[in-house]
Amino acid sequence: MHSVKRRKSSVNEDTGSSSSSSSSSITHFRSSIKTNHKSHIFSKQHLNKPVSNPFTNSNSNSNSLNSNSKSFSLDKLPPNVLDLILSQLQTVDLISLSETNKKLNDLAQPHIFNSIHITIPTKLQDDEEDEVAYDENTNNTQFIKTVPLINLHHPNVSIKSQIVASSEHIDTT
Amino acid sequence: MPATEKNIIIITSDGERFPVERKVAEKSILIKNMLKNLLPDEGEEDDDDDEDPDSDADEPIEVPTQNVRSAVMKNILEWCEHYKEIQFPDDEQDDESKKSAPIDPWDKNFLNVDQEMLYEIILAANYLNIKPLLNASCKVVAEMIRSKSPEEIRKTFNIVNDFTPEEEAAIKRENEWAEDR
Repeated sequence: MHSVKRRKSSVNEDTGSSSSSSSSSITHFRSSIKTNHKSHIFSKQHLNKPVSNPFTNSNSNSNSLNSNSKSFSLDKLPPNVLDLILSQLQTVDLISLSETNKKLNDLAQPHIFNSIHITIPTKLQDDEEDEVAYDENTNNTQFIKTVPLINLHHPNVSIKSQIVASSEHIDTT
Repeated sequence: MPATEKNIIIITSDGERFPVERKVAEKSILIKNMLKNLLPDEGEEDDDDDEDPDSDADEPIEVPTQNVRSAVMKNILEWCEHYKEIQFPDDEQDDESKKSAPIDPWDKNFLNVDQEMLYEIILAANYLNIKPLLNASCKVVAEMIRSKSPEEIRKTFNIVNDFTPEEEAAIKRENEWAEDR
């Protein structure tokens, strides 16, 4: 019989799971099994006797996924997963998330810059793509230029001051 | 039995054994890559049989997944079974159109589980490298974040506020310009 083995160290890096384990988390883990009513589509294997496995002992599973029931926290997810989640969010939600804690603030910043475009009335160069916008205040139709904010990003300067600085350099006549 | 239908036995962290078809197991790119080295493709297998009649190629293959417990694996395999006939590209994560597509109603219903289970499905999908499931579950989490205040997000996801009052005030000031206030 073949058996596929893999390195234990890479397993833990991949999951980014919590290494803490407590009696309360074990209790919670058990209760979460009871409350999971999803039908098991592979009923046949229930008849099979489980093989001996060190992770069967709930006190020894400090690095496995089954130790995290009580300690679920969004910011504990691996960075690549958080990036995926953040890529689904609109600017306003990214900003709310960035105000929750430091780690999420750091992770959200690039997504915020990616998600914001500023629109400035301007003269367009021949090779630039243009859009036509209707200005309700002036009842005028005007050409606008959309600037991806990511192009303005400088790590040590606030977003607001970068936009102000940028708009001063764009010919709006 | 053709190689593609060969039984794969996935063994979870708590010792439960899940015999599955190869095409179900191979929804996980991690397992697919493991099996690639052990199992030849159909054409290649014919050649091997000619060379070695005593080959144990028909025996089930055990795949231990020490980071996934059985309750989570049941859900993961239910998803894999549902999509076993669908071919997902291995690099779906890079497909921007898939990223922005709305969540599939079946996936939405499937992922309507308690938060701990959703968290474990995400970690298992990430570990097993099942990108379509990972994308779908991340979309569900994103839905949970939408239209919530920072305090509501902290409460929902057990996030500890580690900002000092000064830092928090500074970040709020920084973000004020972009908010609809």
